[in-house]
Amino acid sequence: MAVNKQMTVDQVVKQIKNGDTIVIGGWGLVRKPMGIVRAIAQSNLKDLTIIALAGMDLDMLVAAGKVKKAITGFVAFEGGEGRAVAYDNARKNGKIEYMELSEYMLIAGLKAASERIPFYPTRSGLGTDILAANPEIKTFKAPYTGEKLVAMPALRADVALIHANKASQEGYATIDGDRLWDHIMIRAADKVFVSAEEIVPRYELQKEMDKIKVLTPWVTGVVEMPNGARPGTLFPNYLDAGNRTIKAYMDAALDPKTFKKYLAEQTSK
Amino acid sequence: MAKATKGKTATKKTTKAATKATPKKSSKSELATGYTIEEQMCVALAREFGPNDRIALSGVLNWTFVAEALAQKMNAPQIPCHHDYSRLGGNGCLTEGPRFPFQVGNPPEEYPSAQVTSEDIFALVLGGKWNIMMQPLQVDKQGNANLALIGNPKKPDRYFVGSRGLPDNSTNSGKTYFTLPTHLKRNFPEKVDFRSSAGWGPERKAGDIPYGAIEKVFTPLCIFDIDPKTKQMRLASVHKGVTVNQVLKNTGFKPIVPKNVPQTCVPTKEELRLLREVIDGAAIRRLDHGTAEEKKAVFDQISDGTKFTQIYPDRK
Repeated sequence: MAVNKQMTVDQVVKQIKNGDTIVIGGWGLVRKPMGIVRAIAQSNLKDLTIIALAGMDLDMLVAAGKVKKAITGFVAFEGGEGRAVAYDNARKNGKIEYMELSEYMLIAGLKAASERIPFYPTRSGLGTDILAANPEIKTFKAPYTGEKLVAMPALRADVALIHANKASQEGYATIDGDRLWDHIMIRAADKVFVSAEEIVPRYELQKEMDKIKVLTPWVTGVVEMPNGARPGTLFPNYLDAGNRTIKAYMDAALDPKTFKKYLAEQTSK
Repeated sequence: MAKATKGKTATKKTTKAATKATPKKSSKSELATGYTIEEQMCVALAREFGPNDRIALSGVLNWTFVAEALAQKMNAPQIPCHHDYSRLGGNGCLTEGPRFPFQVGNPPEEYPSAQVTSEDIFALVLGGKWNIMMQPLQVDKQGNANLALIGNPKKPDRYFVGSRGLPDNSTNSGKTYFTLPTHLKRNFPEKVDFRSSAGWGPERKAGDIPYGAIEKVFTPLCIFDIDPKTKQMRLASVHKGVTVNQVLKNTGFKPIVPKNVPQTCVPTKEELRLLREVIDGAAIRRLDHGTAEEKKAVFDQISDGTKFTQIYPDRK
């Protein structure tokens, strides 16, 4: 008999500890697990390290004072209008630790972690200031040809959070559009929580087996979270980023009191 | 494309004509008059692509999408055009023979030939098949580019978006181009604030970065390329009506300036016909550099519903 992995978002937050490293799926404003992110923003958690191709997910956690360190390939509200005001503010004022990489360097680090090897070889980053800004990232000479390559260190996470279209209680999940890098991210984390627009019986998911991109061996828990990626987008459910909601966020993000109120309003909706 | 002809002799003749480099027919190679700077830029960029290119990505500017569509109609009919996210909610897609107007990155639903995942894209990047036009904030004398931030990287005046794919493209891709919507001193400093994209710094000069070197930089005033001797930015051509001095006055570093700086290529009549009548009847190519009134005129035209069937004659 399969185990029922369905849980509430509060149960997910309870499994995260202070100081944990969390890798968040999606890209920019696309298919981000915003429901779980909002719950973390309202929790008592602190000192988190966030790994992401980041948009409002990271920015919201920075605004809520949850983030000690951000590991990113970019931070942008790609797919909607607006910009990462809290991250910009934190960087300007030196209030956050950061490891700013390229998109592929971040993925390469996750690939290394997922295969339990200490680094992943890549040319990405050569000749750029990413290496100057991150002296812990070393280069090496390829043993066969002598070519210079970057040894992107493994980026291991305690927790991965992703959002899916549908999931079953057993821990299978479908992603209708681009799975982006979520399949790599979940392999690089010890615990994986998947929020989904709806939890459906396994035999329902079987009808769209080709869309199942998340397999149960990786999954710790699934949460039903309708509109779970809003105000970002989810293919094909909602394709227009909520630009009004994004503006409301940007207006609230830099003032802790206003921001608390904003979060409470968003959750009650 | 050459029209289908009857009879052996005629077919032979057509084949012979088709093997010649563009423009294909002498009447079509006639140079145009009365073209605009955007049209010059579209043509210059389109001519960068040929039969050996697999795919090209146009970035975020309107005119670069038009240029790519022109390349498809001229020398590189095999390249699909990649569009990002938006309507497809994070799904890239490939399109063949797009005709505008539609918002870049937001093709009409019936247009995409196939969806493209992030993994597909990076496979093309890492395999060296990806030709890309990028829009950095700054480009310097060595061809390094910055998309990450403005000011001191440790305490920036403004964090922009980070380096994104620039470090990946500039070390792995096929042909890479920068297309900047403005040409101001601050866009072209002596040294960029953060090297997101690897230009011709010591690492590339030493041979450590064999791929992804910048080919050309397109601005509203000119085209830069890389001087083969010094590996520094060189003024390759100035657009119609632009002087060398005007470029130098608006450039923060001193580019290599050859004795004779040519004018950016003149479109042929055929290229201009394709641009104006087939690919971009609503002139979205003007949206990136035009004045507010010019942009409004284009938008008015785009919002005119009757234009849609005119622009997409093969759609019902």
